[in-house]
Amino acid sequence: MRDILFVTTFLTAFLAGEVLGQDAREIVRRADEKRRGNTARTTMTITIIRPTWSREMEVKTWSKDTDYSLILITSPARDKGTVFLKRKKEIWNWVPSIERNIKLPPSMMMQSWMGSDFTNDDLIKESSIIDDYTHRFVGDSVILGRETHKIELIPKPEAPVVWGKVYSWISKEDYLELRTELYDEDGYLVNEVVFGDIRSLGGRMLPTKMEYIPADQQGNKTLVEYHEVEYDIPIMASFFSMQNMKRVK
Amino acid sequence: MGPLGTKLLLSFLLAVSFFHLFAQKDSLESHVDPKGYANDPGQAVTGQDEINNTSSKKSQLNGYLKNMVTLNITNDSVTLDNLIHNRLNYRWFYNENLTIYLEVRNRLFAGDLVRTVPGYDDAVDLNNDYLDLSVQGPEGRSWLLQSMIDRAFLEWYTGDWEVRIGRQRINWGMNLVWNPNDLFNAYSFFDFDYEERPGSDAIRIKRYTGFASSIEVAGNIHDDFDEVVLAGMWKINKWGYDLQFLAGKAREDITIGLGWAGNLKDAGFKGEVTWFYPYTNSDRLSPTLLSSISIDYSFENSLYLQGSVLFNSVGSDAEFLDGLSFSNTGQLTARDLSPFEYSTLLQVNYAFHPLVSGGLSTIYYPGRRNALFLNPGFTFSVKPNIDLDFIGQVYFDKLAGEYQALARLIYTRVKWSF
Repeated sequence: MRDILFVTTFLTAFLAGEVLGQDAREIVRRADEKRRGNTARTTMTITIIRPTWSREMEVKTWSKDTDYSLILITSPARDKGTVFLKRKKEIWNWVPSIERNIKLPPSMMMQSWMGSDFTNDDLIKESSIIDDYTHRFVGDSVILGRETHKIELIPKPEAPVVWGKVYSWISKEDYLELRTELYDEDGYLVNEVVFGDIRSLGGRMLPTKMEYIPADQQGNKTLVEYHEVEYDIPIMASFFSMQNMKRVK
Repeated sequence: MGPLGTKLLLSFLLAVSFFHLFAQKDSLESHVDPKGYANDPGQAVTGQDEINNTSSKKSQLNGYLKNMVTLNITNDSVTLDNLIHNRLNYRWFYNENLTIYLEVRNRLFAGDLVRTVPGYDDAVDLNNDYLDLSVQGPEGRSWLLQSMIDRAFLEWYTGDWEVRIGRQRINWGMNLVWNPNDLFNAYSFFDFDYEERPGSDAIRIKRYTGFASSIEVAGNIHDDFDEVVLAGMWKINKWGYDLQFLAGKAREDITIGLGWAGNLKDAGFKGEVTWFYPYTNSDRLSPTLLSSISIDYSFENSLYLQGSVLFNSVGSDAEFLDGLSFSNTGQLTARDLSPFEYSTLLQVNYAFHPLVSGGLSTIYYPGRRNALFLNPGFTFSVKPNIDLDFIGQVYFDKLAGEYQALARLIYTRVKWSF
């Protein structure tokens, strides 16, 4: 009896380890799901930091899986009321001063968003971290006191991705993305993303601070700080509409 | 509304502004419970509850203060003018279905043009409005003050319906520079300092039928039926394109039109076509087709390119005709976007630095006159809410048989947004 129990326990542990151990994609998916939620509303500050100056911006965001998002700029006054809406592959920009909704060309996705170190694509995620890459484990390390998997992500040939390779460090126990490195197609490091200040937000333990650091520019970075996050709010795809671009506040 | 009513409204708005500027921000906000979203999926469709529950302000005031110096260089003189321009946008969220908008621009003109151009005070108040919501303030020999309410409307909305009554901007443009579909208040590319555009005294009823689709009917108010614009618009989103169809009457024309915004590969592709058929006075007006098309593309390094063409079926480059008008921009209608048959635009923009961007817009009017408009500009973000702009406008055209620069303007502008 005891032997059977031992074997069962061993097998369960082994199988569980095997399943987790083999499926890097699943770990990336869980980390992504944890950070993003099915639907979410957030309030955050984005600070563009340069050696001699900085600019701070406050935004509110609403999102539903990876297909729908709406971003409202609430500060500074100069840009207040500006809204970006993304529905699948389409993006619109509401310009309050002229009361017009402008459809943005896809080529704008790779541009810096509002002068920051991330692109429109980083912010509203046209590409999927799960479906557009193949994933594999390449090592382990400890970040912020947490055991992490280092996972390599290689974009699939047809994927709408600019990166040649991505490394992502995800904590083994609670699936927190703690560090990311983005490489270009020639294998050079372009950006590092460093996460920190893990605390409970929206009912989940999460890194509430994210630094986006371009590798080749000393002293440059973009800091994202989450102030409020609310997950799994009851919004449907129809919330992401032209009508609500004018209404959100 | 008489001048007294206008003055009262302006006084009210000023009082409200001061209250807002000096009051503690928190005391003006009544917080509501941010929780309690719609649980019924049916209710959450428009997201109305989501918005109402997460917003906390009862009213909102913003605006800007600009100072612009204009140097106008002509063949035999140089004039210098200064414009202090303040805009206040006030919104009162009366309840979850009703919002009241009031927006005013106050301008203090001073300089050579005010002093030397007769009737300058009237010229700064040219518009298409029915109600007179402008007040000429005190004026001296070389300065004058003018205030104008260019938005004053009620907006009532519930579910998918939205009704706006009062002075409002009905922006039907879809293309980036030339908008033949913009029947109520066309945008003049030359009047860059008034991006909000004048409003129309109008009623607009709109029903949203999907995320990018709607049906609306709008009409402006006027004693003279020949000044009335009354039209309907249907918007849909199909095959990755935003499409719009319009029909109605625009001043002395029966009009139909369509507009689109979509993509060709990674480039933006937008256009508008409007057909005007005069139902009166056919001697002065003739049937006209106006159409514009644009393609724009953004490179990764922030270089932005736009090419656009405007076609006007009754346009002409005959030398006896007037060239471009820089003065009556407040009264521009969709019919008068350009006097030429073809207008072509090439726009280049580049961010030299996250805080510095510059660009050049070139409009060329092919034909015997070779009219050319050059518009370079630089913007510096000095502080988060302070911008400094340097803008040039040069216009070459053939006048009295001689090709010459008919306008050379240099603008320096500081803008503080609050």
